[in-house]
Amino acid sequence: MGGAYWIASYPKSGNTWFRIFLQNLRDDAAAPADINRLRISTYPANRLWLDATLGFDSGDLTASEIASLRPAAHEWEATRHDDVQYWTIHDAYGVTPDGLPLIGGNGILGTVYILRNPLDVCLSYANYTGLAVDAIIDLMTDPVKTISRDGDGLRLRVQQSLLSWSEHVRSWTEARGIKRLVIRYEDMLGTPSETFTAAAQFLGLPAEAARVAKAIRFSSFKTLQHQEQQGGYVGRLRGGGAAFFHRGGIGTWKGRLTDEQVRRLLGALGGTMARFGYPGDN
Amino acid sequence: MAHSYRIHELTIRSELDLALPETPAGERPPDVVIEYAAVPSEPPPELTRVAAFAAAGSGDFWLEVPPLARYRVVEGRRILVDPRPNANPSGLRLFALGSCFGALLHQRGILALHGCAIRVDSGCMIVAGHTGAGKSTVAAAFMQRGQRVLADDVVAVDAAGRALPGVPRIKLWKDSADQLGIDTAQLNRIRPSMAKYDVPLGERYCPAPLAVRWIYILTTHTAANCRIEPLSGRAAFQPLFNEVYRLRYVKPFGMLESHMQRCSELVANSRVARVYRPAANGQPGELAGLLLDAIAATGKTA
Repeated sequence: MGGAYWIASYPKSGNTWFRIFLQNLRDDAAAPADINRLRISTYPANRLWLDATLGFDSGDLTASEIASLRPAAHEWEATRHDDVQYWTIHDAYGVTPDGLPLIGGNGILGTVYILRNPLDVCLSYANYTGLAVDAIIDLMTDPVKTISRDGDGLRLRVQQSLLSWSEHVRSWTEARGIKRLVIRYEDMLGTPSETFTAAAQFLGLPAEAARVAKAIRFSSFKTLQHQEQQGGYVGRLRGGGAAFFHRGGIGTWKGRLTDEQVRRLLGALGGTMARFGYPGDN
Repeated sequence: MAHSYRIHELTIRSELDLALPETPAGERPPDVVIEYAAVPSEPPPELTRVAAFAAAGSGDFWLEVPPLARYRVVEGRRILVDPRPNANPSGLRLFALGSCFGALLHQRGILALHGCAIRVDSGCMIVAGHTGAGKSTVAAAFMQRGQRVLADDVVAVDAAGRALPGVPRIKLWKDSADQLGIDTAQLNRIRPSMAKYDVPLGERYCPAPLAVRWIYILTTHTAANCRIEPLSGRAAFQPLFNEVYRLRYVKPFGMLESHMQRCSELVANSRVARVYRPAANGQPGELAGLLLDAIAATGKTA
């Protein structure tokens, strides 16, 4: 039957963890899935994926030309396979200048949107990139932020429109006409059984209690950290900072962000945070 | 006015200015004609969609690059270009020389690989790899070290296992040019709004076909050093076959088996290795030197 679901999130919000869960859920194997062989999902902002899907080199096109072509690439790829695809996206939800939704129309089955306390996101993003926390705060509060800009050189991911953390959340949670399930990272950790079962049901995947429980266990942070220590992780940023699976908890920002940094984040993002139950001192 | 060129050992007459050194028009009909003509907005129904904007069938190829033009490549002899109103010729020629010429080579039964070809003594080395692997940068580094370059981006290999002289220029992003100390102020941009430049090969172009003796498949890794891993037999075939230019086009052209055969012959008749370079802070000059040293160390005859 085919089609594609998007797994959407701001970076460092649990997208990889969620996809590892999906791989384990689908495999239902005797041992945890290899984090370096996640066949279940792909990342359509990857230039190699996009070039193969378009049929020509995007490296000879401008960023705005590429942005206009992405919806058609998503639709074509979503409708040509017999099995269901699961795709990661970090862009904010948006439409092209031609009015086409970035995610595509035909063949797009729905979106799971994952969000996480931006104070924890901030710390995780700084660890991932090796950038200073203040630079990450600038990034997270920039209302027109884009990532992977080609500029003077080719990036292996095409330009993505991130916006600020608040605008990102609003773009996905308020978008009209898309079938969506919104889940919080904190609930994936705090009430895993309910949260992952609801996600599996939304995605049309097996959701029997024992199978979901095993997939959660095989995707535990300890397991992922152990695998990364043993064999590395392909998703770790080259030239970046700490391990990909670094802390992963709730409230990791406490004692690590300064009062001033917390104040800046709350000042810019507090309104949206409160809507999703993130008071900033929990 | 028609322009005349010789690329991949084919004589070309083109209504589209390819912005390359021209050759005198011969008396014999050209091997390839590039002309402006209407191309249908949808691919003919007998073609198979191989990508969102490309379709291929026996001797026929349809391509749309939505911001610029539609193209059709017929029987390995004609490239039709149907530009959008006001499309800049710089963009039109990029895709004529890239995807369209790749399709044309496949239609003619000539193996096209994604890579660059560098002359080494009386033979040549191919450095193949995916987009962003660093092929063009290393080609420019070889050029700076005094090596002659046969082709960049698309390398055509004939039935005798020879790499053919291709488009006599390298397309280089500004950051790569800066890394190599190439002054971009004197160079033409590939498109007016992009920081990517045409580097003419000039005297460093090798205009003669050369036997392929060494093939390096370029990959990035997270380690800080370059590493070379020799490959042979089946372990060499698949990575090489993966570097066939626009592999998705090949099957509908009916060229899958002959291209597999051609890759097998290349593996049998040349030394193949995978070369890993650091993803961060790559030193293209160092990599070029390493490959030449590796060739010298293994003996110059494969």
